[in-house]
Amino acid sequence: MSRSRLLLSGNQAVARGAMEAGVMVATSYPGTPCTEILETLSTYSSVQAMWSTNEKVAYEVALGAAFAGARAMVSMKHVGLNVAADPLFSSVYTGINGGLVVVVGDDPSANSSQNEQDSRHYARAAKLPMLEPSDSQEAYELVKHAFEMSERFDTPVLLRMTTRLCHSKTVVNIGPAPTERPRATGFVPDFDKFVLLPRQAIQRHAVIENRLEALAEFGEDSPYNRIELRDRSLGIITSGVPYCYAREAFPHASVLKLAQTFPLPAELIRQFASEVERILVIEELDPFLEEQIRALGIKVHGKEWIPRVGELTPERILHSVERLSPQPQEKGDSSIAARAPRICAGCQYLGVYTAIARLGVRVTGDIGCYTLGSLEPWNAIDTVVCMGASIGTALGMEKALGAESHGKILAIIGDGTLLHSGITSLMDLVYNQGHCTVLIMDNSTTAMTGLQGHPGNGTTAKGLAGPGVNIEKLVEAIGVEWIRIANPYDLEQTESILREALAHPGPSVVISRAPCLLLKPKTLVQQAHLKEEACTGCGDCFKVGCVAIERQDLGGKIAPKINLDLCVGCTLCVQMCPEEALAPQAVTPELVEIRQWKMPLPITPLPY
Amino acid sequence: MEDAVTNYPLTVLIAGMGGQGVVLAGDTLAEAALLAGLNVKKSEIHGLSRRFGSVSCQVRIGRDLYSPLRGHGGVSTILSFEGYEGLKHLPFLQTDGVALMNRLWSKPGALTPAENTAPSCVHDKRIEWFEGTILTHQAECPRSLNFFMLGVLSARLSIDAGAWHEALENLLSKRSLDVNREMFSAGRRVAVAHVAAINGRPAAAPLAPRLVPRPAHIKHRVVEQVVGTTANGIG
Repeated sequence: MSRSRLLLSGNQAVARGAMEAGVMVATSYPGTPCTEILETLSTYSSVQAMWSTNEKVAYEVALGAAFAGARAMVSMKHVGLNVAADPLFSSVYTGINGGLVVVVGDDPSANSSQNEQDSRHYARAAKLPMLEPSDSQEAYELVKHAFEMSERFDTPVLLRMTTRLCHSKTVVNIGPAPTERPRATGFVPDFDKFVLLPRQAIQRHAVIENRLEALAEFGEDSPYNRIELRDRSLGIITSGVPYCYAREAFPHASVLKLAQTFPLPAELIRQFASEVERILVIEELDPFLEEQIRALGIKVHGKEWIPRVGELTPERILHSVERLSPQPQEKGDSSIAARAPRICAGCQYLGVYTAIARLGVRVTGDIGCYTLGSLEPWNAIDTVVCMGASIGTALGMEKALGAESHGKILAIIGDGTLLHSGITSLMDLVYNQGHCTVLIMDNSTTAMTGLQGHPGNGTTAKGLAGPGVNIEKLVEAIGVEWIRIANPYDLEQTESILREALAHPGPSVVISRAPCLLLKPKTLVQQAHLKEEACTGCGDCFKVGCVAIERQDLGGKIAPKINLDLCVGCTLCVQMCPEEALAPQAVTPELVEIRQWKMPLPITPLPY
Repeated sequence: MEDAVTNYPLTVLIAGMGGQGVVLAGDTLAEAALLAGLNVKKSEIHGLSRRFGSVSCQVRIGRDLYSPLRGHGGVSTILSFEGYEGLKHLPFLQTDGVALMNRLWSKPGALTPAENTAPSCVHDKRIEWFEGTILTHQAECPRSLNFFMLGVLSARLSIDAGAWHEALENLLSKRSLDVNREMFSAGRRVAVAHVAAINGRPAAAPLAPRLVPRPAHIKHRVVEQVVGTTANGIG
């Protein structure tokens, strides 16, 4: 059954709009909030959807497709655009051939990110037009609009989303899928356009400046930039999801709703300013619109009231304006502890971090599920910066701290992150004759974002299997001479290999290898059981940090209580127990069957 | 208080832990409202949640909707699958709102010994408790807790049963449809007839009418009995 009125997330709407617009090549690197755009695109047979090794590669692949005359789209989270910034800036110079739409997802409140940057600044810095949808219907329409703009003005177009938009579902009236498969019109060589030598670059810069003027004029008449006149005592200028908040908070106010937020339609803004008494600019994060509107000589209120930090809501806007000062983010009841995300029961990281916590070394960390190793009980990570930063920061620390630090710095990185951007740093470590140890935790997937394929496991976005990168051989080819593979479920072995690696002069690499349990669940053959009389309450088992190990009071001693709904029988806690009070016990087939339907939840006594 | 949940526009905040099916429950509610011809906006927060982290979503239903979410004091109904998650979100509830909460306690940060105390807001007059965890375990389908609680909610909304069932069919796989539909109906009946439901299998109770008075009086005593018999063992 096909329906034309659907409830779609912003991400799904972008994918649907792009498919209807005839996108032929789509690329991405997984990252919240934008992951589902490519996941949705990969379900359309007309679209060649690809996970790329990183965002820079993704951008370049999409750009190449656009050069060849196909409509192409690349999507990524905000920090991914930092990685792709190099081709972004220069592709504005070359221009395109087929339409190229760049989707970036900002994350106000940093729900699942390492920073809260406002990527709208990229539009201004790289001089490309930007569109900001406010709901799914608009996202769906603006994608099509973006492709038309891209081809009309020969430029990539930035479609700026936010987590709220990406993950909100609103009603979309979709159109039919195109009847013809998308085609590429072919690459037409044009030396002065596509080859950015200095002389060509400076000429192209002039083209860009003219293009921006034309785009600003285009925005004046765009149906997506509109004035809604109601009560004229207050006029609100806004864009994106904050438009929805503003309408909710001030239903009677006049609104200038901007979708094309770079370059801005100056005349339209002036016209609106002349229609209303006072102007309030409502935008999330930085005063991107506000500063540009002030530069037009128009007096506005903005960030002196509207918060810069964290996501807005209608109530937060209202309270901030009522009290004439930015109000803090709305959180849940602070008397109730936050529920921190946890590493899954029996994950290889439990073994790895339990071993690392015993080493007493500085650990530079990276981005993935394993970032959770920085939390209790391991406190095993000292720095987390961005994708691939662990190895470079380790080398820098070593160079600054000198020979004393040799054997005391460990860089940890996952397989996906290593291939994304860690591998160049590993070359640097070898090239600059560092002494750090690099621990590559290979779980054969991109676990944090939902088990996407990557070059390491060889599975493509379309589900095709490939050979995958051989990490040992790759590391060996780079010039690392000391390479060992550890079994993270053997604590003693993992610890001794790590100690050996740290003691090794020169760079060393340890690969701890076990597939992600969500990707490949462990066959349940045994579970940990407590012999209560043998337990001394020493608490060593808690150092594993497993969610399946709860605490109970056994006659004054705090003993473990194994949650059998969760325990996968990895035996890490058994290995930790000095008294042999924890022992593996074989499970019956019935129990295995029960586990199939049991909701695995850590349940604690009822407080009420 | 019942009016607060049956009058449009309304904002439902669904809260729970990763793995409990918060997002699917929200999708189903949104789909049902859409099929009933209403406008819907839904918004999720589940970034770093993975297993056991907090997950919440808001579903807004009504005619003149703009924002996909509301802030403090803007939510008309909380539907919670776990106690602490429900209590944590009480600041978002309107003063005349209602919180429909499943009685399951999974202490945040279970690395410390569980304390047998509850925050004071547990006595908030807007809360109504339901024994979804116990009932779904008794029915041997604990994973259907989300649909049980959705059934509880459904009894408070003027959305036709037909729209609900079509929504369930649209969003669930063939394999899981029957059991979830059954638990949805059970929740719907429980919301009407607490007492009968808590004492045994709820099959005999009639389907809910659209407006249900709150049967608050005896349920807590009955609940204690049930908890007593299952001792440590929810499941």
